[in-house]
Amino acid sequence: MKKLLKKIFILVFILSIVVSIEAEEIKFGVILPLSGDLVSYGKTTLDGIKLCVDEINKSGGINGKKIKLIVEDNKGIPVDSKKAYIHLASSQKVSAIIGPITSTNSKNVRRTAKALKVPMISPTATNDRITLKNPYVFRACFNDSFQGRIIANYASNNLKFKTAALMVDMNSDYSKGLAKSFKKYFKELGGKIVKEEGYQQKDTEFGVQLKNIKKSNAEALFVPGYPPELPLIIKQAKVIGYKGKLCGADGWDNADVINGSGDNITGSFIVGAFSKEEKRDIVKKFIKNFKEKYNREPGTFEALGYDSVLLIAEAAKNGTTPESIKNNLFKIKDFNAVTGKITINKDGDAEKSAIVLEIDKNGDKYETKYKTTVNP
Amino acid sequence: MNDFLFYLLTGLCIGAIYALIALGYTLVYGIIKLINFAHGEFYMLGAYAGYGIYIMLPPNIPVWLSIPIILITSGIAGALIAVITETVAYKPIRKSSRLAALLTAIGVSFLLQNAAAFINNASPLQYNTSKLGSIGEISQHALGNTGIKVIQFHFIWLSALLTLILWLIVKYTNFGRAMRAVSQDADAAALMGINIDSVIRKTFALGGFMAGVAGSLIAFQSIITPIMGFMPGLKAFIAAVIGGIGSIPGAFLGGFIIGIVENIVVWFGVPSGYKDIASFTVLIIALIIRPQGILGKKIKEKV
Repeated sequence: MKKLLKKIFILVFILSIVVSIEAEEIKFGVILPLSGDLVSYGKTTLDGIKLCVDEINKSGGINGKKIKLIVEDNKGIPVDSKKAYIHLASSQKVSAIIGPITSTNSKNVRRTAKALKVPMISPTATNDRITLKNPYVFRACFNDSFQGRIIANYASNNLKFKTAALMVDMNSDYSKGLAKSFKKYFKELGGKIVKEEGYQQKDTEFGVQLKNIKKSNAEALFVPGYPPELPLIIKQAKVIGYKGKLCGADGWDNADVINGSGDNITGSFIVGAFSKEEKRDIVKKFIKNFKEKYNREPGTFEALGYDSVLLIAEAAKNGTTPESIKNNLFKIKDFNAVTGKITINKDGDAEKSAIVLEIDKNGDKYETKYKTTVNP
Repeated sequence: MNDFLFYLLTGLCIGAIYALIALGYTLVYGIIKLINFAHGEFYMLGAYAGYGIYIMLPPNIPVWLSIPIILITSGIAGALIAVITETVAYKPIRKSSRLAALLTAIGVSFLLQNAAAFINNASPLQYNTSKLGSIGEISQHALGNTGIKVIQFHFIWLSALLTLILWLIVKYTNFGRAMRAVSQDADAAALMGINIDSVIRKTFALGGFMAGVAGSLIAFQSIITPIMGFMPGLKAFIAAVIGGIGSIPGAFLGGFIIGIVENIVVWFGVPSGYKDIASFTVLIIALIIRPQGILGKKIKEKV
């Protein structure tokens, strides 16, 4: 009996050595809302992330090491995002973390990131303050002041609008940040903000606010928001009879919004990070591979999820510890990614050009059409 | 003036929904002195049930037939959930302290919310609005260029009708008499041969039915999410308190007051993002000036 035990022990020991040699891999954590209100963003982003990881692993991994993803669901809730971060950084010992995707959630893991020293790259959290004074927080998208400036510019210079109104989500850092920057730049360009209305998340009736906006006769209505409120606002704007142009930010570039808001969304313009009509090779390859894998068209969130992995993988080429990934992320310059040529600046923000898209009806589906590219 | 009318009507329409939910609070409180915080969840599950039957119905069924089917299904679903909740969660603790009952109610509320999150991964559901003549599309029709949805007028009369039926039941049927007897003195009622358990169960069913119907009404023109019941539930509770908890006409009146107040304040210039504050302020004022509610009776307790 004893001998048998001994044999088993030795076997297990050898096996464990073999397994540990086999496990030459690099672990990346992912924090996304895979349930709850933001689930449509979480799932689309994850599709992009997985595509990129598959491609890298197929072509031999990072210096021979395969990427392993550990995905945590934060349900779109700040506390759960923090828990997920601690779990990934302390128990799973990941080298880097991708996510969370919204500003409010990312803001809540900022401190944790600084304490646990594992770099995180948010695909789409755009609030300005998230990356400030924190070397461990990065993002693959552009920030709110840049986005707000582009929308204000387009409304004022290209469409020659003089008046604008806003409809702001009072519970969202993203929405408030965008509103602030839009107001600032629109006023600088000589425009006038005639009305600013607010709503709470989970509201379903916006008639009163939209009525006020209609009364103000604003030429453009800027709605920086998310579903599930956003499609309702767009629909109800039609019910109220608001005739101005609707515009929004990257949160609009999502199937739930574009195809769930009814006819009223036609003609609206938004800022996006990614356009399907771009001609660079990497974009073409991304769209082709994405269609092959998921049998649908990719959008902004898929593209940014893809780019987040690309950036980390690039940084991980010169060492896979969290600290060296962090240092190497700052060294990225003019890196050719799907959403443009990315340079990481001293705050950890991705500097790249933005795209203005217009939403158009195509048969009974709605689509984003490329309008113009704006450089930072 | 036209604008004022818009805010007033918007308030009346949403008030009708609050009134329907508030009835359930009032009924249950009236009979077992329990603030049923899970009541908003009956509203939410009613909306889900209505949507469920909508998907199962053949697609070319006329709207005048499908709407009643959906409303009745969601009402019955609300009633069923209410009865199950009562039997499983409230009945075993009926003799315990009121605090225990209150905490159980909050627990049930969270339980139902999280259970509903399994449906469609908690991502919001909505009635299809792109097909002409479908429920979702008709619900978006506005009255001229006023911005008021036609469907919302139906909220008002439907809410009034259901309240009237409920009031008649309580006032003139044997069951209603039994209900009133239990609410006055449960032990004495039991001695007179009234089956208390059955009366309480039926009361929950009535309240759940109203809430379920309200849930589907809102869902027609809006979205269905697991947490949709929280805010309306809270506001309906305020409505029941303002109207005088335990009083059916009081709950009806309270619902409309809350609905109108929270919309009319925007006309007076309160920033719209903060309009929820209005309803809670009304609650505080009401509690100071008339704690028993507008139509509530003052009960003197002998010490």
